[in-house]
Amino acid sequence: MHEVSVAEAILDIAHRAASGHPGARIARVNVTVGALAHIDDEALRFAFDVLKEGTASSGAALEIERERLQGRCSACGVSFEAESPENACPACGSFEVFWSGDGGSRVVSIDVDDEVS
Amino acid sequence: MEKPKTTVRILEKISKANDVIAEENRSEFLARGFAVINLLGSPGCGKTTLIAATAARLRGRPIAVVEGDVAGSVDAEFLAGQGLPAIQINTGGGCHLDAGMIREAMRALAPADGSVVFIENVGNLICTAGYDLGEQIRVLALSTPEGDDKPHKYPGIFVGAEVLLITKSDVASYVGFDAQALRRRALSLNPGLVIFEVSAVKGDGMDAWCDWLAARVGEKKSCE
Repeated sequence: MHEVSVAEAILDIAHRAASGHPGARIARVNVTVGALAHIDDEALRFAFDVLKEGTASSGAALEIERERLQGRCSACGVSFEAESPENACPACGSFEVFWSGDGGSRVVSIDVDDEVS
Repeated sequence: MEKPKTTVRILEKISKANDVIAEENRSEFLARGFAVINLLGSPGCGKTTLIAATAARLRGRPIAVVEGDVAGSVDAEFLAGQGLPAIQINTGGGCHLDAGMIREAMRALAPADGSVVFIENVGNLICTAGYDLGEQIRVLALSTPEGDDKPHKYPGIFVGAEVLLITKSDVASYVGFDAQALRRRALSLNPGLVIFEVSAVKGDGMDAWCDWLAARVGEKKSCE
């Protein structure tokens, strides 16, 4: 249920970036979501669409890309990408893996419609 | 004709606004000599009882507690009744504490320099994992009645914790809890996890946990 706070943070970041382009309208906000961030795409889109009303992003679409999970095997040290934290190390088969994937949630970019005068 | 578009690169963490305040908190805590523990876990897993039982065993340093709940102040009142300075945060429906809430609460609570401060987060295995509060130690409590399958269901919170406390160990046999299975599953997500099995009510395992905590927060004398 933290998608509302996440959508608020995304809009704040997008609007700050767009403030350097006065008069431009935000057409799309591109984000990546970390593999362990426990963010639901549908809930995030819903919150984004509700909160964008009346802002510079009112016509913006939200593009969500999922980051893959990054693993580092505690047995053999190999680094690899995986779908799920239940995956074993592809090199040695160990299940004891250090995972990261919650730090990857970022606003990557915004697409703005240039003001045609 | 389609309007020309410009892509503005940003590459900013979504959590940045929170992370900035969390780092300020961490510096402030360090400067004041606080040892701050962010305690996570489901509603009813025994977080408040655990804090009271841990505080009773820690010697030599003042202790204070920040309580996070959606509503009510029963936890802060209970802890105050145990002689612990406590402040209640009500999130009013919010499912987690954030760094800004902690900054405000710590100003109001004003713990003595050198305090060990427990932050009891809102009962939740999902959202709380995503918010750095500026703590030094993140502790996850999982009670035996919740089941030994939780690491597979809520991986994020196990990956981000430094310590796992298996609480209510005294009832494990009644609820079919397999501690070895839980350890295996939790360590497969986070091989560095420090795990203790405790019963805050009966006292089982509490000395081992408190000795570890005292050493981790730099106590000279271990708890008894």
